[in-house]
Amino acid sequence: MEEQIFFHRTGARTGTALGPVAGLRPALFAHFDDLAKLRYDYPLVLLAADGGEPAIRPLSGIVDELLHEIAAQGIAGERLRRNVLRIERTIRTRLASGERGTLGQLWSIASDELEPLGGEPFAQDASQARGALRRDGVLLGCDADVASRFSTHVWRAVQERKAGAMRRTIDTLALRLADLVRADFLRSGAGRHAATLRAGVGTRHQDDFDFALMATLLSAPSGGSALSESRRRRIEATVGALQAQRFFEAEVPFVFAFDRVEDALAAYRDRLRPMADLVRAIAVAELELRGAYDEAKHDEYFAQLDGRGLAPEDRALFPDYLVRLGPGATGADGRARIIEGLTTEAPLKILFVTDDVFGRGAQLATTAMGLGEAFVLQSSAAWLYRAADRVRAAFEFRGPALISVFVPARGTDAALPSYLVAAAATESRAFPTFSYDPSAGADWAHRFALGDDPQPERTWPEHDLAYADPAMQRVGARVAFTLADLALCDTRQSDDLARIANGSGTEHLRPVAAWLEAPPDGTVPFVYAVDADAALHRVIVDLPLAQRTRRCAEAWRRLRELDELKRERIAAAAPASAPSLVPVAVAAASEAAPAAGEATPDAPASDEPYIETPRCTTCNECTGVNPRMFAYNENKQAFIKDPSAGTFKDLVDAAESCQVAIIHPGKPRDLNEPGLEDLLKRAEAFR
Amino acid sequence: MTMQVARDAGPAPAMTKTVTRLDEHIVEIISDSGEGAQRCGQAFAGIAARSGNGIWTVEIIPAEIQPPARSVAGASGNRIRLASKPVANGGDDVDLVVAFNEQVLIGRVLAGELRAGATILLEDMWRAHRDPSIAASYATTVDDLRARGFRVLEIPMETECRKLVPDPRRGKNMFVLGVLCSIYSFGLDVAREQVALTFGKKDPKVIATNVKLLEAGFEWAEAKCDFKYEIPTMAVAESQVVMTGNAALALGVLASGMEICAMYPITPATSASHYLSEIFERVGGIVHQAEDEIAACTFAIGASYAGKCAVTITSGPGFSLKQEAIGLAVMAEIPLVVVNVQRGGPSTGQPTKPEQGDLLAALFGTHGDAPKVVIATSGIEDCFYTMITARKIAETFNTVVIVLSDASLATAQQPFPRPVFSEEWLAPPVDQSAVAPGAKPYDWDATTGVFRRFIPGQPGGMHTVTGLAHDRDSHVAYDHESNEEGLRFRSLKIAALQRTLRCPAVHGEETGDLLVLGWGSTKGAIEEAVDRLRAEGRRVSSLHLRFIQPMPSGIGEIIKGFSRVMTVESNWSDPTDHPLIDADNRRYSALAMLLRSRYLVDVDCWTDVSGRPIKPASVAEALRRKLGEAPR
Amino acid sequence: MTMNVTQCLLQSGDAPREISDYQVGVPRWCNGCGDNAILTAMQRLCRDNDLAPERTVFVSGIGCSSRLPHYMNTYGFHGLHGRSLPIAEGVKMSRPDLKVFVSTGDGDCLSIGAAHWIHALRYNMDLTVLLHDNRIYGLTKKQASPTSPIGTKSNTTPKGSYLAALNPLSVTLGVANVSFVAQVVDWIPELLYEVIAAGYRHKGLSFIRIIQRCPEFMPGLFDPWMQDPQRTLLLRHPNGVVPSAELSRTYRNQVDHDPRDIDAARRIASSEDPIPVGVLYWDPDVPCYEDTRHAGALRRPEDVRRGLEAELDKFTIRPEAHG
Repeated sequence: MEEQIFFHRTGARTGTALGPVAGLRPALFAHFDDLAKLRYDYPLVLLAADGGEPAIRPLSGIVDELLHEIAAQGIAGERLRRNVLRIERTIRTRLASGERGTLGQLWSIASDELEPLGGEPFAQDASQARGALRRDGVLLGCDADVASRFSTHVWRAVQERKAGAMRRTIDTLALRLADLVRADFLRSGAGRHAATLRAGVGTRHQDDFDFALMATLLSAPSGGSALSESRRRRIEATVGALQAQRFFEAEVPFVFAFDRVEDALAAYRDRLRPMADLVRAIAVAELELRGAYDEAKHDEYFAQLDGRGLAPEDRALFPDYLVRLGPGATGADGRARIIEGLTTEAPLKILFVTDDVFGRGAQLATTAMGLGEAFVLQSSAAWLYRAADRVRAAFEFRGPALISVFVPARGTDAALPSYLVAAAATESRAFPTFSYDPSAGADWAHRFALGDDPQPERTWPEHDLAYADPAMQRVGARVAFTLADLALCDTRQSDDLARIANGSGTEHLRPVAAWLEAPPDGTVPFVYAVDADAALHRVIVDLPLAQRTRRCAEAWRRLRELDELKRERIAAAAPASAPSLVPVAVAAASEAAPAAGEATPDAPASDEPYIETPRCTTCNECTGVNPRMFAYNENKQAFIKDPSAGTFKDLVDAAESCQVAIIHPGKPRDLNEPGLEDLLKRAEAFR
Repeated sequence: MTMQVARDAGPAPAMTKTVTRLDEHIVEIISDSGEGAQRCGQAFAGIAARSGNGIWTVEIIPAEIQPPARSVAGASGNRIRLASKPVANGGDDVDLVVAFNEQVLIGRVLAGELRAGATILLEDMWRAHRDPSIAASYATTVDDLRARGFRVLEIPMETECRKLVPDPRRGKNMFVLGVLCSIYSFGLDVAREQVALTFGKKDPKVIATNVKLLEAGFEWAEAKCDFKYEIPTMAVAESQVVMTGNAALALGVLASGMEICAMYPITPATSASHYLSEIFERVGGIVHQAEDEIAACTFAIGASYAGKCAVTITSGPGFSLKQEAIGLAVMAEIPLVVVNVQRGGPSTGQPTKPEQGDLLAALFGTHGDAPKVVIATSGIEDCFYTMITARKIAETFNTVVIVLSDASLATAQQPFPRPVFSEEWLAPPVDQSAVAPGAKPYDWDATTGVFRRFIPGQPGGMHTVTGLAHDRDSHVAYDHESNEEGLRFRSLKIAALQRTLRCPAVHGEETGDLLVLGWGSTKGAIEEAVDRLRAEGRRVSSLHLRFIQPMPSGIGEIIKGFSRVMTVESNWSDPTDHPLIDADNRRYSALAMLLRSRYLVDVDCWTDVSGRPIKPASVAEALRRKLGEAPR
Repeated sequence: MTMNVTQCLLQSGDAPREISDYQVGVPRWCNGCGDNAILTAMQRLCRDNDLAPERTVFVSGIGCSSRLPHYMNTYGFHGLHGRSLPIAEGVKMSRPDLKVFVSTGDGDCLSIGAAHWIHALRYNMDLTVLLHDNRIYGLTKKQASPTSPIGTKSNTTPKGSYLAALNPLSVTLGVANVSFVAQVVDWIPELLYEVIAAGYRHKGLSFIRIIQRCPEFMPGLFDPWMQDPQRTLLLRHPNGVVPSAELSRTYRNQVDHDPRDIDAARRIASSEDPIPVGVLYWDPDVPCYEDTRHAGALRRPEDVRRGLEAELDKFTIRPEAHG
């Protein structure tokens, strides 16, 4: 017992009561011996981009769809289903044993392998299923290079969609500019030369005309060239620049994938000038094609336009730079470079792969979020597929992005399948899935989002552990999965853990999760582990690891708070329900309107003549009566411009001739106007 | 002029047969429609052309879409004229005919299509037909034909094919192809290539089966036919293409750079639009099937107005419907190409039969004075180049160009040198440059009437075109000066074009006893007839017109060199031998009427409206008659 | 515009256009003719959307309505009686970059051009079509039109017309691919403008029937409606138009009608009195013919060359095949 406490405090093993943890795995792994039997995310199929949408699907998903499509109910269908699933399992096993290739290739290999065992019906099923398998792509297992291949696939699809659109724009502009020059040539005298005219008719008709004479006759309306020499030169230079670009589906394309931040930055800086040249070319082309290029206004602007002068919108049209960094880059200066890369204007998409959740690299994503304007995504290899949309978002994001992925290293994982270790890293809160998207809103609440980590409401996910005690009685326990449990998966952490030899006292032990919650009481934290024979062991956690576990729990709680904050905000800003479709008739309208008879509030006093201008239909009646008195406003609707510019009679005549009766003559100004009695009577109608 | 050659006939049981060497032969293959005689004929023509013969094919189309089987009027198939030199028409009478049943044959015999003593290859299955009446009809017909002096050869087509395929009715056409290849001494290799080409789209099995049938036919003939023909071939120096007139039209539209064709289905023009649709789906461009002929024409005018000269393709009835719209294009001076693949008229007339009845409608069909350009295509190759020239003129002179083709060119096939594409053919890009301040949309040039159009998108060029009389600003103008100015310049444009036209060359001597004038599809037949008469020592020449409106200068001078002048056309003119018809009331054919009015010369005419492509022999005969008459 | 730079450079400088920039010539319509109101609404629309005059085309047929293009300082095509739609379709097909408007009348569109009317709806090209419906032939001096109320006395029907009037709305709403149908009256300028603007915003063929006064030949025909606002039924909806509070004071007879509902639209369309005014039907998802036909697609000379050579290959007899 003293030994236990001593180890916990000092990490030093004394005596025989404590043993090494080599060969032990977290107790919860007991169920997962052979992953190839399980149908989980992996292997993934990297499907060829479909309409620019990067497509990645789990093999199991593809197979299920396939079966849904071809396997009917009934015996034959069932046989087909089984055979296809056998093929799927064989593919998994092959991959696990290091086989590589496309789904199609491994499908054939697998069915060849199974055929001798399966016989005639199998061969038939296999080929039928193979035929129904329409889309193909490289198979991707959860291996050391999984993060790199996964991200590269998505990145490439996003880039290709961008590039395709831009290339079409560039081609169109180049052609339209060429058209512009040709149209000018044909308009010019040269375009009417006999030779040109001759070449323009059907070959067998070239002797039917006197083209010299035609040229003379047509010379008159030729109008000459409209292109100034400077403009022609500018257009030709622009076409040249468009064709010389190396960014989009070019003959000699630039490279955009790198292994070092500094190389990517250097490349970006070198390309600022070519970028500016292309932006200039496109802009000039667009101006020229609208005939809007004004040398006085634009020459100087374009002369001094360089890479730094580019608007972010324009820079965003160009390809992004993918930087793939391995665990090697975790050194202090490595991290410093990453941060530098994320803070420049260069659109670097940095993929950072770590194989050590206990090292500094694990904090990189959290640090990067602090930068504020970079897109950040963290996920373990096991969660990648579930985070696929966020990976795409990171590449579509306008600006730098960091994708930090945990991929267990071979050799350090106590020979556990790396998918299992990666999943455990997420499970243990050591490497939770989350993203930070600056384009999603102004504040953290909108920008930050947790991934679908297990049992988010808890500090640690909990599971039932059932085992048999020395008396062979079934014992059930609810155990949390913590960072300390994860440590069992990483031989680099072995020194912080010690196995209790069978028969030693366990009364001072407390599960690490509970231990962290409880006040210090002299107990010792432990985790459950199983050995190769699935025998249960208790493993003591030393103080440093216990502390790391505590910090891990705190870090997780902070992330969770951010995420809850988000939920509250979104709830607060719930959209109003759609407008109802019930007839409103007068009812609804009358809210806005006073009851009939009431004078409309905005109507002027009826002494002054006025026109309900908004109702004027521009019929020219009043302006016909007296153009000085009546005029049209900016919407070509009539108003009384100058009441004194005419007689009361003009007003009354206009009011009577107005089609929509919107002219109100008011009271006469000149009480001596002849025929006033009669006019006033007529005006009554328009009060 | 045949020579006897003895030679071994290859694989089949060796038999010595005489090979007759010929300058030319006319072959017909006819069946109920759907039995594949058409395809067989086309393949045979292809083989001949590949082998280096001059060819001209004429489709034989039943009036109805699906006539009853074994009906006299139901003949469907192909006529192929093979020659040792290039030919430009379908020729005269048939030398050899292959018939899948005796009824369709009767139709051709009664129509007088067969030369006396012609060879007939006839499917013999009917002789043993379970329906006694059919068997009887067959037997009596065969006897009758023999009595009329035809050489009838009965061929067990179906019996032989049944050995190779389950359904011999489909496939006997390839057997026949084999027979013909043997008879006309064509190599099997070329034939196999052609079959592969014919069934190119289908899977290899189909091709293999048909090749088997072909070979079977070939061997059968080698063994069973005691005669063989050989028509000397020409070395094909430059690359050649073989296609129908309508296919050439469609390709011409593509080559001219026109991107929009608006049409409404009508025979016989439609096949051009069918093919053009296919082409545009591949290359880009739009064939718009409008709701009617008027919409098709106005749609094309709208497209042209907006900057891309468009074409509308139609036949007689549709052409009449377009006339008002054509007038609009003339009045607003919007370039437009209208193709009229003429057919028998008036009204619905003879949809599948050739006629040159629309010439005057093309010139004068629009109300008011509507000067426009009218071009006639005179051959398959010409159909291609005419579209290019038509678009070029339409856009250069802001005018309507009407292209006249007809049913005989539409479906006829002839080899011609493969065109060499030139970018200069293509329509100019849409001009979007700013218009000089103060420039007027109708700034007619005083000497030519030509002006530069303002196209939507050109800053400063805003104006409203109108079909109403208008002034240089395109403002509606009712004053007589503006109206007369417009009329004058629209007419002047055509004169300007006319000045640049060269007079076509005379075929034959510059002077003589008879000058024959023609236009359009009759060129081949007329010139062949003229050559025959010249070979007889007659002093006959011919002059064929491509431009009918405007008509090039110099024709009057040429006419002066001849003591007799007549036109040969395929439209109506009153026969002079009728008691009611005299010089005062005789209605002349279209071109004759135009020539008489322009040159004040007594131009006679001979016309044929039989609904068949005009034949050299009948033309020659007409010319002989004319030569018999007193000079003018 | 691809480049943000281009936009900035284009916006810098030029003063905003005014109605006068779209005016040309002096309208030759009778005083009090509804065409004046329509012309004004169109000029306002152009100004408010800052349409480049050189990239805007007004197409018309023949009739009083069809003079409208002559008074717009844009490109215009005053075509043939009944044929404005096919002409406009041709323009749009060859130049999808142009804004195309169509002015047509009740005789032009519903009688001599009826076939084109039906099929234009089917093509659903991006056109704004104004049906100036004054229910009479004006230019030819008073003959009954398809929309003349039965019993209309005219020069061809001195005893009154014999046939019931055709209802353009219900016919239009029966045609496949119809995507925007609205009705408005010329004497409520606010709605006239708003409805036309809604039609302009819609991508596809917007068919707008404008009930229009002809003071010369149909004097007083619409007085009952002009005098009694209750006889005008305003269709209000965020998907259509929402009348201003000011207008609602006068026109209180309103109904919430979602133009996405075609059955409701058909019911409303059949109402002659009250006159329904507003957007009856709207479906933004009907494909445009010019898009499905890829009008204006890139077509380089080398494309034509390649295409032609490929076709010629099919007809070519190779000389080596000779022998």
